[in-house]
Amino acid sequence: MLSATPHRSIWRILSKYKHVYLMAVIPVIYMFVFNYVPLVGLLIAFRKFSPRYGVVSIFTGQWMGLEYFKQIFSNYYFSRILWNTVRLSLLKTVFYFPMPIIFALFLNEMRTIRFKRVVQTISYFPHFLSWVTVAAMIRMLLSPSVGIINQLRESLGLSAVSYLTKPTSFLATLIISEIWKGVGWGSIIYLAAIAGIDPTLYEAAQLDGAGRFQRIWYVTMPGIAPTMGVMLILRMGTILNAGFEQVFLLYSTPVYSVGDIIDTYIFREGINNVQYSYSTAVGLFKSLIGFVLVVLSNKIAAKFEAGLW
Amino acid sequence: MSKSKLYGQDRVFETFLIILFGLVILTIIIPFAYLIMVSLTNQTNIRAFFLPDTHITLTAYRAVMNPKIFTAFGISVVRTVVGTSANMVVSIMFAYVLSKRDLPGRRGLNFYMVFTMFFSGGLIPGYLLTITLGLKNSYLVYIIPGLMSAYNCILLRNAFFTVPTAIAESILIDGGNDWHVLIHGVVPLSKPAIATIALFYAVGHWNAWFDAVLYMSDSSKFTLQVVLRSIVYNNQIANEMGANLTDLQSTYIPVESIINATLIVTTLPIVLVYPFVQRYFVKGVILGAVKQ
Repeated sequence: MLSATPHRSIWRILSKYKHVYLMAVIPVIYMFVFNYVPLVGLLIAFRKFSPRYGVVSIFTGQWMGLEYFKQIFSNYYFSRILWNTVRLSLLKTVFYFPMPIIFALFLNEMRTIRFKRVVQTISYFPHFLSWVTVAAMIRMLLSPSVGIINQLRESLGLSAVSYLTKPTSFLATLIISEIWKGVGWGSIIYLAAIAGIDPTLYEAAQLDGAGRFQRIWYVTMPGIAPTMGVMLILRMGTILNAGFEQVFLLYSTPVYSVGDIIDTYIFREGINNVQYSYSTAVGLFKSLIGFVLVVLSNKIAAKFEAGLW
Repeated sequence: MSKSKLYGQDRVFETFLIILFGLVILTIIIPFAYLIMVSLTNQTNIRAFFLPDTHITLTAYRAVMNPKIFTAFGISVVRTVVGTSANMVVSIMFAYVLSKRDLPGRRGLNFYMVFTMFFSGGLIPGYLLTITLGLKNSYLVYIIPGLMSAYNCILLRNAFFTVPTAIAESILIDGGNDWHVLIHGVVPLSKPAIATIALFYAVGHWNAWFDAVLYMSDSSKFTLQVVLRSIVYNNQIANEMGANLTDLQSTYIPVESIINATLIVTTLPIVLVYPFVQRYFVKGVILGAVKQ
């Protein structure tokens, strides 16, 4: 079909935006190389990686099909690792998720503006620390010999506890430190959502005789429900990410039974033991499940009219 | 805003809130206070802090001011400055592209970027790629693999959406091109968001350690966090640092003191920069999070 308006030819349009497209070149190339090309590298999960040929084995290595995936399921440790990941992630979600919300709800009630600002400033700070720093702090504070916690225990006549080498206290440490590090920063988005609630709703509630907590329950909560929904969906999609950096920096062999998660396993098998094919298969398995979970949770959320798209 | 006094129940509740949040911020302040005290007194026992003959000494910090730390500190600084600059240039450019609603192919580009947030090759293919590109043991591995974060780009894009199109139109009518619109129009009007994203990237660089662990075989190329990590895991290194103070060979500096001093040195830049940028990011995060 001949164009009846040659002025609007595709070249004309493109040249109008030529600078804009030029700006897009580097980012597009970057994403192609570092995000899309590795997707091709996933093929290594289906081929036998040969150290002799190196990366080329992605395309030329012996075809192993689902062999490595079968190995995953027959691996004695894998169910433990999968369960560790899910358990840690669920525990973190259950204990961590409500905290920024509660933090925001209560902080919002504070009328002393100056102190409120101080609290916000200080509580955001741990978010900006690296896990290396926080893990170092934890080791210092929890140390059985010199840690402040154990010093307090001993002064009370209790014996010292090595928190990082006992499975239960290890998990508790992971969860508590995650809360400590993230609650302030995580509350920002809820404080913003609360600020966006129509003030007349509060007035109406007050006129109807609603007390403080009733106002929170009937006005604030529904107001931030969409935000909570989105945050929860995002969380569901990342359920298999239990926090690699934190675990890696704090775990040790005595707590592998509860602390070894999928990502630490992939790291050890892949990087330390050079099992590229096998560990890529594990990673691929993890991504597939993650994808299914994101789609599922979004469908569920759509029923409640919240959602990412 | 009227400052009304609180009475009765409200006053009680307010007191409760102040105590509650006072405790919360104490959980953040006390650990740091303890670590600082250990590093300044070379004592690990809390009781020692109150004894009269416990003095404040800077020996731990002097032990920490050795070439190894200086090098790592310098590398971290350069990495943060160069890396963040590169990040911002690329992210701002692409955010601008994505913010031009009438651009043909914009939805495709959007999808192209968002897709990368959900699907990635994972650790091993990424590792193999980076090695194949010859970035092993190169300083470029600190800059290039993490050049742009899709998430940060989205925040910038949303901020750019709020810039009135009249700005772009008036610049274009005056004979400018999109580069002018970006540099003289959009960027100056999006300062809170840009400051926020720059902070995110900068903190990411300053705190990064895993890429150095993966790709750097030469320990002189390590960033500060990596050195901190190696000190925590290997007391030997800390002891060596303590022993290197030639004029104080008779003084024993506990390993904990050195570790804490290094920790403080690593955290100090963030503490110093933090108050200045703090006022920007609540605005910036909200701007980015609110969809247009």
